[in-house]
Amino acid sequence: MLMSRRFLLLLVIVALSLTALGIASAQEATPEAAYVDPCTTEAAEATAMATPEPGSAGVSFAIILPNARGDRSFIDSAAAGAERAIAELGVEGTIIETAGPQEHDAAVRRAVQDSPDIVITIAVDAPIIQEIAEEFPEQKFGAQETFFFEGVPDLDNLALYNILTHENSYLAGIAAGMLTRTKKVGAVGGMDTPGINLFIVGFEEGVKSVCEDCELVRSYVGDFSDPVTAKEQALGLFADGADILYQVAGRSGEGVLQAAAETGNFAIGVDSNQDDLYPGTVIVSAMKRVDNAVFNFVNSVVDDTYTPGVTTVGLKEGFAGLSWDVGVCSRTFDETGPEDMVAKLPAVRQAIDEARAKILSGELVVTNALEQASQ
Amino acid sequence: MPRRLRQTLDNLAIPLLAVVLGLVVSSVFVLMARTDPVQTYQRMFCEGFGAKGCQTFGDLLVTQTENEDGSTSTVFAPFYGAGGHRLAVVLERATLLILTALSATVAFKAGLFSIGMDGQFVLGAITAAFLGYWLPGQVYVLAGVADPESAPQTLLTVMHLLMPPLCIAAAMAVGAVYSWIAGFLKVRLNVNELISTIILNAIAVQIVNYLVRYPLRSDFNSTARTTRIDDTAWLIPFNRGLFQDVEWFSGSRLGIGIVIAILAAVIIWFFLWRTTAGYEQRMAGGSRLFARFGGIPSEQAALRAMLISGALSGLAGAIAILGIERRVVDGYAAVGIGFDGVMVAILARESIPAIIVVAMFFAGLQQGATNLQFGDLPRQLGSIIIAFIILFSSMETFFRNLINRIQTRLRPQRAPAAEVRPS
Repeated sequence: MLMSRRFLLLLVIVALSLTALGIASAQEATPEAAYVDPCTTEAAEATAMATPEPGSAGVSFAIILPNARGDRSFIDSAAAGAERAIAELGVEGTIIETAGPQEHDAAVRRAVQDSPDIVITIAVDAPIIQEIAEEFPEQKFGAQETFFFEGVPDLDNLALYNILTHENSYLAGIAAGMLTRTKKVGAVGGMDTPGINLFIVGFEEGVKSVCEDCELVRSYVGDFSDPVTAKEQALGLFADGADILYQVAGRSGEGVLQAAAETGNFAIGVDSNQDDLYPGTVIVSAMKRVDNAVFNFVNSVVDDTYTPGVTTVGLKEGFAGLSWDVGVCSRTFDETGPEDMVAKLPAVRQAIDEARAKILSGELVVTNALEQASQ
Repeated sequence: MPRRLRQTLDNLAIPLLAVVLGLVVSSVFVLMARTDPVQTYQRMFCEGFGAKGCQTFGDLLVTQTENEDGSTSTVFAPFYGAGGHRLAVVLERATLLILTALSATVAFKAGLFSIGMDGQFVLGAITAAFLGYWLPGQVYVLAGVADPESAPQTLLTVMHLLMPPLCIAAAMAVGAVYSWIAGFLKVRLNVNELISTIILNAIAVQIVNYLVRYPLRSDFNSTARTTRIDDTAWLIPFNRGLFQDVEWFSGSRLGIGIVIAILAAVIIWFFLWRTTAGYEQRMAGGSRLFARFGGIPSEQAALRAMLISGALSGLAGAIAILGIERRVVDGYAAVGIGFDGVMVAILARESIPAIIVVAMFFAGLQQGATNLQFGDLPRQLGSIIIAFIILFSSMETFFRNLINRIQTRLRPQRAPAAEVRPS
């Protein structure tokens, strides 16, 4: 056993060095070695830093966060986008944390009083935004994570971003399905809503695509800011034999990651890049680029491309992806994960790349739970 | 100096001293956050109590107005608010604090340290939120109206008059019953009301969470929420109804609720200090045994106090929904408005006029703390400042002793001078 593992490792090292030397014959050596990691071969910084645009000095924006920062997930991602916009576009930005839904209305109205070029809201109740947008037709609004179920109001000053995350969850599911040792993986959701099931259904399909006989488990915390309950649920699922859990639970998800780290099991992060929170535990993170949405909202008033209405984006547009992708290039698990799993990573990445190509070409269609719900 | 005036001055000086000390001590933390204390406090009080565009302490009191000839002059106008005055938002917040603080005071005065306001508040809120859309829905069905917008105007007017009182009454009843449980446990089984109300609060919050997330959930929104109340059950805020053109109210959801809250304060004051039942209650609160020997049915007084207390919290919950939120969103139950009310009651030392002042001050501080962020200052700084102000406000005895000690130390030196003065 030890021999074979050492041998495999040696083989991988040899194969990698051969590829690095550019010897074509090495690509047929082993299937693992055939995968060329774009993050190590190319220059890692694929996304060039945008230079501050000269004309954007007078531009200002305000962003209303649905709760306090520090979830290391969804809300922090939004705040990061705002901070990036301030740094890269040279605009004036005000980041407003609220303490919960009872403060949203007052915070948005207060933001409007300063009349910034755009007021961005994250997960604020739809009628609140609609009312305020109707009341202040001169003020531009950008809303992320706000759902109108009875049709989006036809307003010239309201833009909505919809980020679909079923496809990148599918890719994360491939990783879980290929890396599981117990053939039992699961997901812990914040709440049983289509918005969350969008992630979970995609993930489960991804698992099944590479591991037909894998058993799937699910649980819902019922709260996005209750890491204690989430941890208990995760501990229960791990005790039940699951070894990889996908958390889709905002701040609650921290409990899932913690439970995985404590029990020596594994987790998949969500929204932000959570690979480094518990190194060796978090395999990969299914990122939802709320930061990009926020950045684009700000950018749209800088370069005057603001368009009202709904913009739906996802894997294709780069708003959803994995922390392994070029641009983020998180390789924490390669360095800190257990050997047997790390050895499988090149094959996993190859499978993911293939699936991604199929999704992008339309050959593979992942179930969209959000669409199903609204039908 | 007349004794009465001196007492009032004393009563005013101590809270002021507490606020100033709170600000001084929290300056340490403000400095640690690498910000200027004066600017921070200016921002905080402006955001809490100023008009739109308020930047300095001076702006709190004066406003620049443009004269006819184009020059500007400064006028003393603390309440002038073109484009919306933040006091309107403060009053909106204070409405709920006043009612929950009254609720706490009624219980405290009867000698019951009930802190069940939060549970009663959220149950009242969910009751109003449910009836607010369900009752009008039933009426529309009965009247055979398919689309509420095409309903006959007379029906809508009648409903508009009936629905809010019905919802409020139901919420008050629910709050009262829930509070009565703690009173009953206390009177019959001698269960400590502090413990029982804490537990009842937790239960109520979980019940409301459950109701919002499952049976009363309206749609597939990622945050669970109830259906919005019907427009006929809505206590329309001033800036959309009565005072639509008054800019002062713009940006707030302040409405008839504040009038109800002030009225409730007057009624409770009258009840406690001018009626037999109120007297019984205060006596029972002073000493249960003494009251019983004096022929006062103290158990009955305690139960009555709990019922009134619960009804007031339920009323607060109803106003929060019918006048402000219009629906219960998941997470609303965990906000703890009832606990803020308890704090206001304690800081106001169970005095009813003081409750109104403290509630507004507290609401303004909260508002200012949140909006510190509009001056790029961290929100947490505001919470620290509030906490220090509350801490020092609750140290009344300490300040009183301090003042007395200083006075006694000064008195012997002053005494001869007083004798010299011809009387």
